[in-house]
Amino acid sequence: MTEHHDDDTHTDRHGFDTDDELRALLRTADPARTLAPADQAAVSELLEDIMSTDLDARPDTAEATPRRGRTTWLVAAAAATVIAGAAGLALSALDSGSDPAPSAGPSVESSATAPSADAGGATNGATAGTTELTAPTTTPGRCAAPSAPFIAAQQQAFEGTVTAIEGDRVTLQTSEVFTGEVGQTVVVDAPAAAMQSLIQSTQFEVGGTYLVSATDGQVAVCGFSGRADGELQGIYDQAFPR
Amino acid sequence: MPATDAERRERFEALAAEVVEPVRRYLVRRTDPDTAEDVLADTLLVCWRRLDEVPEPSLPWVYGVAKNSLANAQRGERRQRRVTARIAVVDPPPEATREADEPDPRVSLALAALRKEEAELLRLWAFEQLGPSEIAQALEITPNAASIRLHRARQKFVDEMRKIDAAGGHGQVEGGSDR
Repeated sequence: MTEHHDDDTHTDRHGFDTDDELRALLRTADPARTLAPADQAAVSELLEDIMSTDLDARPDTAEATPRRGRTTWLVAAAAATVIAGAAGLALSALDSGSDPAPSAGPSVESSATAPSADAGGATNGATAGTTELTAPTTTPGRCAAPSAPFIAAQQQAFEGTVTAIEGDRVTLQTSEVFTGEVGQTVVVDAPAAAMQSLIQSTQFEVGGTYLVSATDGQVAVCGFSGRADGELQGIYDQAFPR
Repeated sequence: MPATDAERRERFEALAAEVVEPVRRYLVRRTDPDTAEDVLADTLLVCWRRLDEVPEPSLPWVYGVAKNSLANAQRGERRQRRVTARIAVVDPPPEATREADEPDPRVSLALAALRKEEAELLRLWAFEQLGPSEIAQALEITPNAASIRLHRARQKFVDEMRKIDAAGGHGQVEGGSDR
């Protein structure tokens, strides 16, 4: 711990000659100074709701996370996320197309024109060229709950928009690299059978934006890669704080 | 077989008893009451799901979770909020001395004049009463960086307070760094 220097902090009238005084002065501006303690009954109810949530997450249930369904607090939180997502969509639409639009649900499906505005432009951290990944040939039947430490431990992680799904190959345009070497373009190859389960587990769709992580050239499925929204976005944010 | 349900619940309840109130205050300091309530629930949910990873002492780590959950919740509104923050900066008060426990409007002004990261360091230090190593954990930076940045932030804060006093109530402090 470095000891602090008093430098030329000699002005008595400020009352911040020492760290203690400075801290006390700052605390006068604490917005929570007059906050009453939380209602114990409400807190107990909240804790009970949380402890009744399911700890397991499976890719098949990625679309609707039932654990939120039960609780009013958590439903409110989820609604806030949806609203924030919608606001983000509106903002990026106004942003003259420099940001890839976040995934906007199933309606994106039919839009074959992939957002390619940032193809040669200022992509974030992507190296030139193409990164090639594969998908696991089998997907485990049951998955651990996606967690930030697991994703943080992946060799590559990025956000990208699917520009094409052709045969055994999914092509993504990288919009942001979180870790590792990731090219402007990423192709994910998979044998036909595995491709089907890859598409199912990540719900890859042309035009959709995805968070993808991979290790040893293999995409982490099982809830660790998927649409860039809500819960997965939060987990990636925790794994790669900005 | 991992910890039994009952053990897990017990651990979580003990953790919650320790962190609910501080985290609630942390959030109230940084967002509106509704968002604070939602993000508190999100934060506790993360704690519940990642209970095995919660270190001891837990609070700085939980502040880190709250920080990320809040950032997530605010993703879309952030730009608007910054604008609001600027508008909220009002003319500095004329008096230089105040009672220690009375809100000193200069403090908000000086904090608003600092860079966001610097102001946050000072809040963690003064409001949450964290030391440099705890701040490091909450912000996911190294203790050394936290220590150095905190020292710098304190100095800049004192400088801003001086500027406000020097401006002497002429309302010349917005924008901040022209000298």
